[in-house]
Order: sequence, then C-alpha cells, then structure tokens
Amino acid sequence: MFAIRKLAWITLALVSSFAALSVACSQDPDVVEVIKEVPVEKEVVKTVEVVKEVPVDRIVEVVKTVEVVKEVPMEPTPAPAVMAGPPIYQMGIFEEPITRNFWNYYGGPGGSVWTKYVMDGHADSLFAYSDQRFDWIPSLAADFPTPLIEETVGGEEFWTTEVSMLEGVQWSDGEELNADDFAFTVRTVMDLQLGSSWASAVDPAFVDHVEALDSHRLKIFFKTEDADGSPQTPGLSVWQFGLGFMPILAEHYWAPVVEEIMAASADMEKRHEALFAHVPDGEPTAGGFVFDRWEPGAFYEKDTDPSYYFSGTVITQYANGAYAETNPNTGQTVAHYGEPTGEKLLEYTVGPHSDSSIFSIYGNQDAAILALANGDIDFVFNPLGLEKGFLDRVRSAPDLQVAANANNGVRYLGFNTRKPPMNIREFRQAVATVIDKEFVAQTILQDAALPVYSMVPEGNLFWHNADVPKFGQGMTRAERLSKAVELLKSAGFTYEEEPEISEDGNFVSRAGRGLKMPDGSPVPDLTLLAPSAGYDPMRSTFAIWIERWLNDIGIPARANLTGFNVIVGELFSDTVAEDLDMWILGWSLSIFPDYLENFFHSRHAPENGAGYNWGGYASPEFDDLAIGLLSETTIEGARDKAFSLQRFLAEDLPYVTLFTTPKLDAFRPSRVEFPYTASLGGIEAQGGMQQEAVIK
Amino acid sequence: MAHYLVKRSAQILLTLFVFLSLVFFIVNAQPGDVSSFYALNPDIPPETRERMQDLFGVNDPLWKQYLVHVRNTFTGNFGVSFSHYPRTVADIIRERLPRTLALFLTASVISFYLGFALGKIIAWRRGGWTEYTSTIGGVTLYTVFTPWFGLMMIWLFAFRAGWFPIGKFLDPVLWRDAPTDANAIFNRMILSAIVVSIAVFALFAVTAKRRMAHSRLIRIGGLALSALAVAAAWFATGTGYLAWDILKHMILPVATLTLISFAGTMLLTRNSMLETMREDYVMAARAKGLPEKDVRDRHVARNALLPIVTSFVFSLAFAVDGGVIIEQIFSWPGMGQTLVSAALTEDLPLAVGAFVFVGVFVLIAHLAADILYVYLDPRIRY
Repeated sequence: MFAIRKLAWITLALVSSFAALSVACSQDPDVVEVIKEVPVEKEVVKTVEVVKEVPVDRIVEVVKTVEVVKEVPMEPTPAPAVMAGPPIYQMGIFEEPITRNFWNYYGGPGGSVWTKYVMDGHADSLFAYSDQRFDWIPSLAADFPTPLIEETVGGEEFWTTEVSMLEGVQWSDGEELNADDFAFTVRTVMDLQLGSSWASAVDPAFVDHVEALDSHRLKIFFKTEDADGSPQTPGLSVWQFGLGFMPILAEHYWAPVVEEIMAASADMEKRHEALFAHVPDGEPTAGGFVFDRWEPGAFYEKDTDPSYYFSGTVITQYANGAYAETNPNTGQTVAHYGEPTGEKLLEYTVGPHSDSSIFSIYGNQDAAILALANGDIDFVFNPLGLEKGFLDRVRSAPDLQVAANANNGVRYLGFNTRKPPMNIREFRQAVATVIDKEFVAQTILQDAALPVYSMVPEGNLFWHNADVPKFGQGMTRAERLSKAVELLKSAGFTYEEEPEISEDGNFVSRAGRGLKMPDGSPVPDLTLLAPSAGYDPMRSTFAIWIERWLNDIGIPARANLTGFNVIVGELFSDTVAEDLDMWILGWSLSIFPDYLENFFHSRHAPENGAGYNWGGYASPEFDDLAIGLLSETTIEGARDKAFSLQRFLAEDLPYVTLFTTPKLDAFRPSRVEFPYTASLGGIEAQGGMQQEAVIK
Repeated sequence: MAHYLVKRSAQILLTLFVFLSLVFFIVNAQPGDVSSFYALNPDIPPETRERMQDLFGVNDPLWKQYLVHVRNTFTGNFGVSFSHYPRTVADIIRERLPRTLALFLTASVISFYLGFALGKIIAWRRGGWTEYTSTIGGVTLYTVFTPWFGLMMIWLFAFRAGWFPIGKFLDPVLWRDAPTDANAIFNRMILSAIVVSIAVFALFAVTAKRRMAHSRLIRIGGLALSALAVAAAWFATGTGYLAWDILKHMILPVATLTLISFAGTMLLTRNSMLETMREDYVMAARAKGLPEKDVRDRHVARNALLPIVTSFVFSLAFAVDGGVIIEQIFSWPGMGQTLVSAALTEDLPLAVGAFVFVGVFVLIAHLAADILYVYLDPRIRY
C-alpha cells in the first residue's frame, strides 16, 4: 500500500507541479499582451524589391515543373480580422535550416533549400534577374559591364572587362559596400577552393583574378586558355550569369576570420571546416534583412535592415520591354532595354514592408498547411509541391488563395547510350513515340502533370524552343505503334512476330515478339529504374505505362520502382556504364540553360571524369554546339544556340522528356499582398517575395 | 547484490557493444549516402559530391568508419552531424532531449497514473459497466491508428475549436523578444518538476513514517506550498509567460499520448490484480474484516505492482526516443523527429548517435528495474 500511495503521490506531484507552474505563470500574460498590442508604427507602403534569382538552388532532385498558368481565385469567404501588432511576414517551412553561415550555405553541406529560404535577403550581387521577365539587369553594378577584350598584362593574355558599382550602398552596420568586398569574396572562394555554388559562380577554369581599380570600379580577368592550352571565351554562363550573380560578402567582417583560418592550417579540409563552423554573430548584410533570432526547431527570424539601399525604389516594367528603377535616395532613374514609356506591365516599390520575417518550422507539410488554414502563417514553402489533398484543404479554407505557375524543371526518361539497343537513335525515337504523355498526364494523372517535349520547359519563355520534334504527339495508339515499328525496322531491327493492334485501334491485340537488333542478336532484357510511388507517384505511374508500351512493341523492358537513393547510387556507381539501361528522374533547372551542356556534353560522362552525363551520351556535333553556348557572349546569340541545342536533343533523344507539374503556392491575401503572383517557379522561387510582400 | 550488479553491468556493456554494432551496420546498409542530396543540381560541379564524401568520411572503408563509430560512442562524442553540419551529434541531442523529456515524461506519468487507477477499479468491479466501458474505450484508443488520431485531435481541438495551438512547442511571435532560449526554459521546467517532486516525496515519507495526524491535509498543503514556491520563482525570473506558452503547446500532445497509452497500464494492472486477488493473504485480510478499500490498496494493489512498475520504468526509458509519430504530427522537435530526419537524410552519425543514446537509456532502465524489484518485493534476492 505504501508503495502504491508513494507512486501516486510522486505522480501527482509531477503533474501538479506543471499545473501549478501554469497557474503561477499565467500572471504574466500581461507581458504577452504588451507585445501583441504594440501599435503599428510603420506605415505600410506597397513596395517590393527586385528578386535576385540565383540560378538554381541546391538540392535535391526536384521535380515539379511546368507550364502554366492561371491564378485560381478562391470563393469569397469571410476574412478573419487583420492581426494587430507590428507587420510581421510569417512563413511556414517544414524542415530546419542547416546554417546561417553564408559560406557554408553556398559552398558547404549547409546548402539545403530550407537554408536558402531563410538566407534570402542576406547578400546581393552585381547583377540580377528582373521580375517575371527575368531580364538580366544591374543590381549592385551601376550599369552593364564593358565588353570583353583580350588584353596582355604582365606578359599574360587575359579576357578582361570592367564594371562600376553603385555608390552609397551600405552594409547593415553602416560600412560602405564597395569593390573591395567583391574582390575579397572572389579571392576567398579561389584561395579556399570552395566548391558547390561558389565554384559555380567563380569558375576556376575561367576566372583568374579580380582587381578593385578604385572603391567602386572592378576589373575582372578571365583566362584565355583552358587547362589543355586550348583557347576559351568566358561566355554568359561564366560571366554575366555566373560571376555576375555571385553573392558579395562583407570584407570588413570576414577578412579577419579568413586570415585566421588560413594561418591556422594549410590543410584545405580543415580550413573549410573552420570557415563553415564560424558562427557569424553580428555579420553585416546587404539584402534588406539582418539575422535576429533562431530558435532551433521552432522558428528563424530576420529583421528588416532600415539602411537597405534599395528600400523605396520604384520598379517599373513596360510593355515595350523597358525596365526602369527610380531610387528615392539618389533621385535617379535608371532604365534598360529601351525607353521607359508606354504601357506599364508592372510597377511596385521595393521593401521590405514588414518589421521582420519569421519562418515557423513545422514537423511536416500537413501541420504547415493546417497552420496556414488556421491563420497562424501567411505563406508556406512547398519545395516538393502542393499535393492534391493539401490543395483541396487550402481551397476549402477561408481567406486563402492559390497561385498556379509554371515550374522550371522537367522529369525525363534517360538512356544509357553506350549500350545497344539504347545507342541506336531510332530505338530511342521509337520509345519516345510509343510513350503517350498526354494520356498519362491528362487521363491517368488528371492534369496534375503537363507533357513536355523540350529540355527547356515552356515556362522559361525566353529560352524555350517550342519548335522541336515531338515524337508521337497527336497520334492514336495504333499510329504510335505503327510508327514505332517503322522506326525500329528502319534501323535494322527485325521481329519474329510484329505487334498487332485491335480492330477498333484501342489496344494491342498481340505484342511484338522476338525483336532482334540490327546485328541479329535478340534485344536483351532491359531495366527501367524509376522512383517508387511512395517517393513520386507520378513518375512511378509513367514508368508502369512505359513498361507496358515497350512490351507492346516487343521490347523486353521491366520497370524497377525503387528508392530515390538507390537510383542515384546506381547513377554514381563505378559500373554505371555496364549496369544502367534506362532511368526516370527529374531536374530542377536554372533560367539560363547552360545545363544543356552539363547534362549531355561527352566530357561530363562519368568515364571522362565526374559529371551528370550518366547515359554516356557522346555526339561531337552536340558537343560543338554546347561549347558554343558556353562561349557565347551575347544574349541573342546564346538564345539561338540554346534553340539549336533543344532541337538537336529532341531529335537525338538522349533523354525523353516526360512531364512537368504546375507550381502551386497558397497564401493569405487578407494578410499579405504580392505585387504579382505570376512568375516562373511561383512565389516560392522568389523566396516568398520577402522584400516585396506587403503585410497588412 | 554487489556481485550481481557487477555481473549485470558487464552484461550491459556487452549488450551495448552488440547493439551499437548492429545499429551501425543496419543504418549503413541503406543505399546511397548524404552526398546524394548534393548530387542533383546541374549548377553544382560534380566534384562537390566527392568533396562532401571526403569531408564526411563516407568514402572510407566500412571497417574504418566502424572503428571511428565505436570510438566516438565510448568517448561520448558521436561525431559531427551531416545534416546539421558542423554541429556535433552530442550538441543536437543536448538540444532535443529536454523537449522530449518534458513532453513524454509528463505523458508517461499521467498515463501510468490514469491506467493504474482505472486498472485497480475495473479489477475490483469485474463485470460492471465500468469495466466494459473502460476496457472497450481503452483498447479502442490503444489500438487506434496513431497518426490519424493525432491529426483528428489537432483538427478537432486546435483547428475547429481553437482551444489549443496547432502543433509546435511555442508561439514565435511571443518568443521573438524573449530574454532566453526555449531550451533554458525546458531545463528549468524539468528542474522545477524535480524540485516539487522531491519536496512532496520527502513530505510524504515523513508523514507516513511518523504516522502523523491529518497527514492527508499536510501532504496536500505541502504540495500546494511547493508548487506555489516554484511558481513564485518563475514569476520572479520574468519568464513565466514563456513556460506557460510551452505548457499550452504541451496539452494536446500530452492528452493524445495519454489517451493512446493509458490502456496498456490499465489492462496490465487489472490482470495483475486479478491474479493477486486469488492469493490466500487477500482472503485473510477480508476475513479479518478490513475495509474493502484497504484490502484493495494495501494488500492487492501493492503486491500486483511489480510488473506494472517494470513496465513504467521501461516506458520512461523509451520516452527518451520520443514518439516518432507524435513528434512529427505535433511538430515537436525532439528526439523522435531527429531520428526520422536523420534517417531520411542519411545523416549516419546523428541516426546512429540517437539510436545508441536511446539504447543506453533502455539498458540503464533494465538495471534500474532489477534494483527496484528488491525494494518492491523483499522476496527477491540476487
């Protein structure tokens, strides 16, 4: 009895102590109320800042892409009362950011997409993309750079260019942001041999060094020869869309840190560890926000930088293609791409328009969506997309709106072009022909996916080439079958028994049998690796149908639906050339389509060094075209070459592009107002428009 | 006893070694590695993946990684987390553990108390409606699909009724100007609970030993005073509103956990009581004319306690790993959520570290239960 009562009392004591604490502590809500009832001191102005889109964030195999589209207006529902208190932009994320050290985020293991969201508004770059149209425009640069010229300095040949930086721009601690900061950042990346996105921005194969001619003028030196001594030209991807987009960090804060790290160890790995481990307390920023608080597992908060240079700048985009910025601090208006006259397509004032941005961390997407519906947050980041179930919930919630946009990504079927029969173009074309993308996307997936035919998705308007070969498009099942057989036979394939279609033309009454390759050997059993339904039901659905259609025309293929990591492991294995047949994955893409070279140039095949050309695609003609794109220094020239590349790929088909998905963003219009919601990649690709969003 | 403890400790060490080896090899058997997450960005040079593998040592031979793992475990340093780089695993566990302990210890204690009390009653009132409703209700909740039940609780009481917050453990707007961090508050809350518990336990022991008059009143008064003292201390620090915010966020997950787990204790207590009630000494107690309540509490329940306490001690140990599902659903960033995300991101040091940490607690709980038996049942000798 004693023991029972003892336990009971201990239990009671524990429970009661929490209860007592609750009661006692409830005296404090006054403090809480004070916080909540701070009057709005800041006048809310509808403004926004130019989004600085960094070419593709790191990560993950992504996925959602597409074409698109429309804004879905919600049924009018009673809006909840506007929240009192300071304007705070509250966003939901459902994984913890990894770091707030920018070096780690951009060049180390800290570069998750969640880290990217919270780091938005931390650093700025010389150039940026304009809103919606993604024109290349100066940001911290005062104007466009001078043309590249070949120059001999100290007996060495260089490609050089000069660029002026804006004057009067300050770091959040009041120090001036100048050319030395840019030069320091480049120097640090090169000295410490930083990888990842830093290596992408500061390509060591091209960038030699940077000099600050004076406090606001830079001279950039590019190498004229590659490692083999062949001449090279730093094209758009290296300079304008590469180094020009590099985030600039504060020399006066980081230089002592970097010096200490360099002095402490000569081992590059240790240097990286030390740099990434540095906790950047008090680090000045230049993107409109400064770090305030990170409560691990709960939230991350950034405060508005009152000295942000672009705050109050009016951005205007015109129907004639012109872009204009009017900065109230300088009273100056700068315009690019024509005369800023005529119809205005977009006009807004740069913010930030909130006191702070808070990222609430939820355990899962479900909880985040529920919190959005409940009014706890104003916007949710969904890097893997808003699934239909969640979409329905959002649509049924009062006061929420969904914006649907094209997504800059593509999901594809890849071939190991080293092995027969995948090395035969007609075989790949036959496979492309039998794949009825429209049927799976529209009938099976109920328009949750959109068919694509080019490696540059349609949503990337400027760079997308709609005029590419589209195998099978518009054909009936019978026509597809017939065309595929014709393609195979034209390449020398033979059947013991050709496939037959039913009389009504709706199904294959007899699958092809005994398909032999041009050398007379039977087509071997082929494996199609694809993500399982648990990871991506859309791709697994496509895989199942592709298996069926290939079997119909006598190709003995089997879909192996497996884990994402298994597929990636297979692609990166040493035996990829021998073991791989076909696979289905996806890419998240950048605006500038230099990825076409990354994916398909023969130098990126694993057997030629590390690379993403897992299928071992090798075409000298393509290689020349791809190098031409990288070397191109004009936008129009690059566009022509990108169009040629798309046409070439859609004909030669190292990948069969399958589909993309619309990007759906849910937000609360009664609390947050965006200057626009139609944009490639949606609101999320703009980092939730933290500088632009007006909080009511 | 001493000999037994030495022998048992040696067994525990051996078990721990086997356990950590198993954990290491099972976790490593997953395809791919953390660098996969850096692999699929065309703008990132492919060399980055190899560099990442070198940085994390995942390219080293397995035996070498295993030795590093064993060394790290036995030195208490579980290495550096891949997914929280450059934070150490120990640091992450230190951050997550108090949150899990606060939630799951509270839920374990409440559910044990509720289950034990109900178990006693339904064992004593067999065949009545109390037994049927408690058993059916308890078993239904015990076997309910936890994710669905958790979501329904949130939907009903947080979303629809608006009585509680939707997930998380704090309100960011309230905490943005907080003078301290959440873990400090969690640690103080746990400390406060321990202080109150010790004070009450001491009071209970003293009043029971001296058979003081009005002991019930003294105990309740003592409990109230202890609680008030701690509450006053919170008030004085000016952080009471933060603790209150956490408590508000705890109510729904604690209620959910209690509802889905109390039936286990209840049924165990009932069965154990029913066995004990057949003993001769129970009949003797009744024959002596003792009141039913005394027979039930002093003669039956106490002797039925052994398996229940064992179960309770183990449940406390497993509280360390948190309820993976509950933490996910309620966005409670404790050990359970850490385990899941470490496994999903192939953060081997963190996954292995968290598993081993839980394993150590469970082994210690086994030892504690063994020792506790001696005090609960004088017939047991080692």
